[in-house]
Amino acid sequence: MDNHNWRYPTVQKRWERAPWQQQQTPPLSLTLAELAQYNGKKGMPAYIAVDGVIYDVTMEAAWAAASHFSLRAGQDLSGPYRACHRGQGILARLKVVGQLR
Amino acid sequence: MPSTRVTLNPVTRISGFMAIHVTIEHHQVTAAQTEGMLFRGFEQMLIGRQPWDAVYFTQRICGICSAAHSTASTLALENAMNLTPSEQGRYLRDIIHGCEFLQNHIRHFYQYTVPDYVRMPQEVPLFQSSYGDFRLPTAVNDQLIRHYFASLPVSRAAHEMIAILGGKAPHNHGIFVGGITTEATVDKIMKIRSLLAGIRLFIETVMIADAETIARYYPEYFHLGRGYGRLLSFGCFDNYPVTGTLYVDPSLYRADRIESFDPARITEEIEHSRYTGAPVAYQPLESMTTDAIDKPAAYSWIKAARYQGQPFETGPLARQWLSGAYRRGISAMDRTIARVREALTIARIIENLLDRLEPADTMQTAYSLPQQATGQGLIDTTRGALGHWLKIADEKLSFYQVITPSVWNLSSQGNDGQPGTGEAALIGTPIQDPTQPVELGRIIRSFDPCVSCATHVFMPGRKAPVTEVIVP
Amino acid sequence: MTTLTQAKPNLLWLELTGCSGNIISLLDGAHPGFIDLVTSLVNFRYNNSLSAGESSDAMDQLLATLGTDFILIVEGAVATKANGRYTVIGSVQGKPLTALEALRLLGAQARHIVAVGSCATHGGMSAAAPNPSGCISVQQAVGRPVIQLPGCPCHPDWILGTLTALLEHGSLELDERHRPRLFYGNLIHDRCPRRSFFDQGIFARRLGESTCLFKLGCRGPVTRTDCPTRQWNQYVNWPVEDNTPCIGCAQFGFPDQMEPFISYDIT
Repeated sequence: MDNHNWRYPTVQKRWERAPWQQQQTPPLSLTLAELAQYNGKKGMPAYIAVDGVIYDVTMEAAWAAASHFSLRAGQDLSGPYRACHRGQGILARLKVVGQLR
Repeated sequence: MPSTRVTLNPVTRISGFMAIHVTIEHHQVTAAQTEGMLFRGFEQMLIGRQPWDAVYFTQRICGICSAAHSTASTLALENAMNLTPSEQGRYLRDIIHGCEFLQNHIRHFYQYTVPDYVRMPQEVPLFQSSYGDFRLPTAVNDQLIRHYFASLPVSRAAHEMIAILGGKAPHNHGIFVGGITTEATVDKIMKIRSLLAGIRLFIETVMIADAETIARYYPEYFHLGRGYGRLLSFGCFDNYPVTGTLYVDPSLYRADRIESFDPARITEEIEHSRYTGAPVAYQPLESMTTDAIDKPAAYSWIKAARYQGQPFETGPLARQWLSGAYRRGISAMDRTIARVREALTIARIIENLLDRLEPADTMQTAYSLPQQATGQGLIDTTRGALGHWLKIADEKLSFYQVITPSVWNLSSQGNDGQPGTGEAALIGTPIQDPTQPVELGRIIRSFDPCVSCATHVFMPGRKAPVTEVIVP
Repeated sequence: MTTLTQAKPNLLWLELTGCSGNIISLLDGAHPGFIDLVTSLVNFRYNNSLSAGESSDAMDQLLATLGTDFILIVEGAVATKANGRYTVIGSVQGKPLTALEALRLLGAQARHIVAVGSCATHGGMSAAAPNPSGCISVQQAVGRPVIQLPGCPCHPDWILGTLTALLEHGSLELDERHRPRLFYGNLIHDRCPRRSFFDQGIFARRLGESTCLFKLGCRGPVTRTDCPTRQWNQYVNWPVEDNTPCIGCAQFGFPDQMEPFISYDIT
C-alpha cells in the first residue's frame, strides 16, 4: 500500500528550523510519564514512541494537531504502529530524538 | 359505519422516515399518531468530544438544513464562552443561514409539496402518484411541472451562495464561533448579489404565483390541518445591536394574543416516545434519557416538546404571523403560502444585510475554552424553533441536547395524552375517500417534517475507545 | 449526455440511517444533475425524499424492481440494533421494513451497489462512538463488494460520474478500497493550493488565515479526494479555501478518527 509519509523530504528539512531543533541537543531519555508532556500543544513538540525509540512527529503531515487517526502524540504507539504500518518503513524516515527509559 | 385504520408508511417527500396512523370514522379522522422511524442518538455521540467540533458535527444531524445546526451550535458555544460576535460577524453568519432558508423553502415547495397537487409525468416511475385528486387544467399542470425542473438551478444557486462564504454545502465550514471563517471580499459579495437577484426574481415571479395557483384549485386546504393554532418562534434575523430586528423576535401566539417568550418554560416529555429516564418531563439542560425501543405506550422516536406544557406549531407560518407579515389563517395551505412568501422575506433580508457589510479583517481568533460552562443556542431556522444546549467540563462536551422544529411539529403525545401538533392537525380532517386518503400527506407535509433532525437521546458515559487504525 | 448504448436500467436510491444529505447534494449537481438522471440516464424508480407516490405505492415501486436489471445507490449507514428496528424505511403488508432488511433484499440482486456518502461507506457519522444504533457500513451489511464513494456529503460529480461510467462502460477503475481513482486518486495535501505554505512552514494559528491549516488540524494529508481541484457547488469554493481545515469527511474512519476537527495552540 502506498503511503504518504515518505513523499516529503522537504518536511524533514524544516525540522532544522523548528525551535527545539536549532541547537544540537543530546538524545532524550524519557519515561512514559515524561513522554506524555510532549503532546504537541502549547509549545511542546509532538513525540511518539515505537519499540522504545522516540520520534518527533511535530511536522509530520499526517499528524495534524498532534493527532493521527484518533491516536495522540505523547504516547507509546508500538501496538497501533505494528497493527497498521508494519513493513512500510515509515520509522526510518522519522526524526529520532531519544529513547524510552 | 365501521371505523377504518389507515397507515401511511412511509410518508415520502420529507427528510427522514415517518409514518402516519389514523382512525377514520364517518369520513373523518378521529385519532392520529405520527411516528418518527429513525434513531441515531447524536447527543449521546457528542459526549466527550471537543467542543469546537460540535459546530461541524451537529450539522450532520440534517442534510437539508445543516447550516441551521451549525448556527445553533455556534450560538450555544458562544453563550458558554461568554463571547459576543461582532455585528458584522452576525450579518455574515445570518447571510449563510438565510441562504439555507432559501434552499429549503424552494426545494420543499417544488420537490416535496408540488407532487401533492400537480400530476407529475407518470411515465417516470419516480413521479407516479398514489392518488387521483389532481385538479389543475392541463396547461397549468404542465407549467408547474416545468417549474418543478426550473426550480432546481435556483435552489442550487442558494447552496452556491453558502459555498462562497462557507466552503461547501451541505455541511458548510463557514459558520463558526465569532462570525464566519472568511472575509467578505468584494468579489464574493458581488457573486452573492448576482445569484440572489436571480433567486429573488424566481421567488417573486414564479414560486409565489405557483403557490397561489395551487391554493386557487384546492381551496378547502385553507380549512384543513389547523391544529391547535398556537405558534412559537425563537426569533431570527433579530436583535442586532445596531440594526435591531429585521424579521421576528422570540415570541409566541396563543388564544388570540402575542406573548413574549421565556426559554425556561420549554420542556420535553417522553411518556409516548421510545425513551426512558427520570423525570419523564424535564427542562433541556436536565435530560437523562436513554433509548428504549420496546417501551410500552411508546410509538415514536420523536419526543414531545412543550411550552408551559402545551404543544406549539413552529415554522414559516408562525414567523410570518408573529412578525405581522401574513395573518390570513392557520391551515395546511396557509403554511405553504407562508413558506413561499417567507422565501421572499428572507431574500430581502439577505439583500439588506449585504448592504450593511463593511470590509473587515478576519473575525477569528485562537479561542480558549472554559473549564466548566453551560450554554444555550436558540434560533429560528427553516422549519422553526431550534435549540442546542450544552455543557463543557474539562474542556470536553459533557452534555448535549438538541430540540429541533420537528420535535415541536411532529411531536408524540404529551405525558397527559394530548396529541402533538401534527397529530392535532390531522384529527377532525374530513377524508373524501378512506381508500385514497390524500388529505393526510398534504396536511403533514405542510409542516415540512424532518425526521432526520428529530433524533434524541442522552445517555451518561464516555465514548468507547477507537483502536482501529487505517492507512489512507 | 452522450447517447447510451445500453437499455436504461432501473435505479433505486435508498436512504438509510443518515441525514439524507447526499440526495440534497445530488440536487446541487448541475451538469449533469438530477434532471439528467430522471430524464435520460436511468429509470429512476424510488427515493424517499423525491418519490411522488407514498406509502404502499412507493414501497411497490421499490420492491417491484426486484427481478429487473437495476443499480442500487445507498446513502446512510445500516442500523443493526434490535434487528435493525432503529431505522424503518416503510412497511410491506403491514409489517415494518427495516433499513437492514431492505438493503439485504435489494443488495442481493442489484447489478451494482454504490455506497454514497461516509455513513454508507463505513458507518460515518451514524456509527460515531458509542454508535447508539449499532450502525454498520453498506458493504458489511450486504456482504458483497460495493463501489465506495465516501464524503460527507458525497460530491454530486462523484455520484453521477460513477453512475455514468457504469452505464457507459460497465465498470470504472477502483483503488484497493473500491473508490474510483478518478475522484479519489490523490491526497488533498498533494494538490492543495496552500501546499507551498506547508513546505515553507507557514501555518495559520486561527481560522480565517490564508496560509496552511495544518496546525489547526487539517486532515488533507490523510484524505483522498479531488476537492482542491474540483471544488464544490458550481466549483466555487472548498473548505480549505474557506480558511478552515479539511476535516477528513471522505476518509474512512470519519468522524471519530478524523477528530479533533479544529485545535488551537498546537506547536
